[in-house]
Amino acid sequence: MFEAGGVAIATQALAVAGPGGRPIVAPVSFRVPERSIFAVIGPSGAGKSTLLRCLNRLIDLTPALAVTGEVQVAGRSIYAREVDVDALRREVGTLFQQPVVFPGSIAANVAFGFRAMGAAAPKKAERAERVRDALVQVGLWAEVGHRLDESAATLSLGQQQRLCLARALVLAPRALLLDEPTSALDPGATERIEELLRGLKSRLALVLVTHNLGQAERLADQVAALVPAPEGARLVACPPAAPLAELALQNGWFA
Amino acid sequence: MRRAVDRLFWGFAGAATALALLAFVAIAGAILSRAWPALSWRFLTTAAADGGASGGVGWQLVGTAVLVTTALAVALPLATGLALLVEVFAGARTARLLRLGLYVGNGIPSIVFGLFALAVFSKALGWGKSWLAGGLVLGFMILPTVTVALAERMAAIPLKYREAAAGLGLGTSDIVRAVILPQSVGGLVSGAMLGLARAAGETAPILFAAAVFSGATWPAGIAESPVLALPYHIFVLAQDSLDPAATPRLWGAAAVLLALAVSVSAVALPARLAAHEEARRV
Amino acid sequence: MKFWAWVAGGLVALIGAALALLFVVDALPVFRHSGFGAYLFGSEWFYRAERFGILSMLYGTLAVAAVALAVATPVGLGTAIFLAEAPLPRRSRLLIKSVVELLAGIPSVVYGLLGVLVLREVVFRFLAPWEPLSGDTLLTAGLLLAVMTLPTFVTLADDALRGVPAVQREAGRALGFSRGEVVRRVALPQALPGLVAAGLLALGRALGETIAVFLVVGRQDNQLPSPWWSPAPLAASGQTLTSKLGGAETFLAYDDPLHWGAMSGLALVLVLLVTATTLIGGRLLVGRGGIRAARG
Repeated sequence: MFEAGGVAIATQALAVAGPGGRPIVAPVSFRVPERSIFAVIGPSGAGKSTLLRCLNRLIDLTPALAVTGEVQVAGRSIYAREVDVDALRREVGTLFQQPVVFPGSIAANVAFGFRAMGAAAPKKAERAERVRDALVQVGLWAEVGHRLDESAATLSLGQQQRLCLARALVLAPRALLLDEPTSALDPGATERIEELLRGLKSRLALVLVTHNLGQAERLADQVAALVPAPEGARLVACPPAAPLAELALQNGWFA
Repeated sequence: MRRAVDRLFWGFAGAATALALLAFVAIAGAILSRAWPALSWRFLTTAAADGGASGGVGWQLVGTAVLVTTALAVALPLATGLALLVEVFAGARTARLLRLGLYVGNGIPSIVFGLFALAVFSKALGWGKSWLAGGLVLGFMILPTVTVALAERMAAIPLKYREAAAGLGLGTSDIVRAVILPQSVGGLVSGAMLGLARAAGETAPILFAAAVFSGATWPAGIAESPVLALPYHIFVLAQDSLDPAATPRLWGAAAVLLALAVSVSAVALPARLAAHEEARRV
Repeated sequence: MKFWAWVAGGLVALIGAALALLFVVDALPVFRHSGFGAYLFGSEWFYRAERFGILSMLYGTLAVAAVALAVATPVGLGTAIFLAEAPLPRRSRLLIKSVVELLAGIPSVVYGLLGVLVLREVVFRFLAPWEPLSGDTLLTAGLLLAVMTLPTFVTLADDALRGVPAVQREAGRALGFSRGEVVRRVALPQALPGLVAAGLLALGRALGETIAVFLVVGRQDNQLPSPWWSPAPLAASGQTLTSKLGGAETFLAYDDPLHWGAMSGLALVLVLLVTATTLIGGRLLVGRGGIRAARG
């Protein structure tokens, strides 16, 4: 279906069940190659975010949900017992729908993740370097480089979302999970994020959950639709370059 | 290293929780186990004798009931009026001032109410020791608690009900009667329970102007008409100089008071927990 | 309806004003007699000699409250963290919260009785190496107050922690923080104002508690540490503002305007202390449910 070097994320019969075994996501299998964007579209409530959270085990925070099947990141099973979940989440970063900045300065926000690394955290000089790098990557350096000590809450929503992106990038992830990263933003800010994601594709694997079909068409190498069903939502691969809106309409995905 | 710190952290939190739970179990256990021999139906219904060394706590229960009933009779109407002012009638500034007053009033130590009762009712009005002084001052004391519980419930009434009533052409007073008061009865009940539990257990407010240790039965008149009261009874017996023969009955009295206060608070518990759980849901 | 509501409001305002003014007016004679400064910071209280200095009672009140908070805040913080942050099933959480609420419902005279018949002995034995005169000490009163203020602190601290948005915790976990690290790095710093408020409101309760303290504090006048930082008086009997007011001297004082003024002054100082504490605490809670949360 596509040619690629390595596979960054792969799932095999991954399924999610809610309380009492009620199926939420039926067994799904897909592969996200390195340096590519995999988009998941579908109506609200289909379980897109739930599926996304399985890929770095953020789903563990919702104990009511039971995950079965297999997820591999860079060929290693992430639900294996010996996996360091915290390290996994640094390796597979997350960007949420609403930007979540912590109270504190811009610099402190970008460097926040280092604090979880204990002895493995980079030294002070290197940190500053990496914070700068990350801010340059998300195009914020020119805007905030001179006021790193100001509160992150003073930034615009779009800037905050790019700050959150920098906060994930500074940890040198292998892949990023993006949960409707632009749905809270205005068109201008959305465009900037899309531009950044297109650039990041040269290095990372990205899994993008969105209900914006145009965004999926513009960015993704592969698109799949998560379609609600009583036996759990199914993941349906969309043919490459198919007009998504028509496809969705024909199949009644958003009915 | 990180794991070790985490384990220590949760160990601390768990141990603290265990300690808090243990405190309650230990307190209830210590009292009930010692009180057990003294407790009986007769203990609840007979008068104390020999300075508490024999007999029961019958009149103490009666006195406490008189005080609490009076306190509620004072507090409930005033609280209703105040809550309506805060939530409906008063302007924003007055409402803020009232809230502040309630908040400060809530913090006033109970002994201050006792002193107030002594100065105003006992001395200035010349009542000496009187059940009415005790009931009034307990009513003042619980007023903020009852009002806040009631006002919280009023604030929680969805605006659409008020709007619907206004849309039908009801005036403010009609809306209060038809919508706000009926919908906030639950708040009045839980407020009354909280107030009742507190009024029944307090000693300091009735120390000077209402309670005596012995020699009172039903109140007759106002001036020089004291009452016995369960917390005051325990308070007097707990002071050193008294007869060790009274100790078993002292535990018995404490168990009765504890059961009274805890069971009344327990009735208000669901409402209280719900208020906190909802207020803080993010 | 509106009319009666305003009548109720006016009545309550009147009572409130009377309560506030009574102690100010009644205390005036003693301020005139001793001077305000000498009254507050005078170290001797001998009413027969008309010497009214309340420093030792201020000390007793603050010392007892300090002991109470030193015990109640760590235990309460641990409990609140466990309640708000551990992955507890809803039912266990409500059960623990219910027990904490019931702890708050125990009347202070019952705590006092436990102090007299149980805690006093324990403290006496614990202090044995220092040969205490009795188990009635500031320490005993402080420990008793610790249990009494615990529910206030736990309830408000739990509220403060739960006021931190869940998305913040999730974002922390997504950066590779463990659950405990998220509590320490994300939730606790953000809940700090609320936690301080919880401490202040617990302090307010500790400062004003009378009956339980009265029964175990020993009610010994004029006990001051020397040097001022010495912990020795904690292991000895003392007097607090409230234990003084709860005692027989209040009855005795009434007919002598000066002596009654001195007692009224105690009440005034107590009210000011408690009100200042709760107001600062309330300030920190404003916008976080403020008054609603204040009952604890």
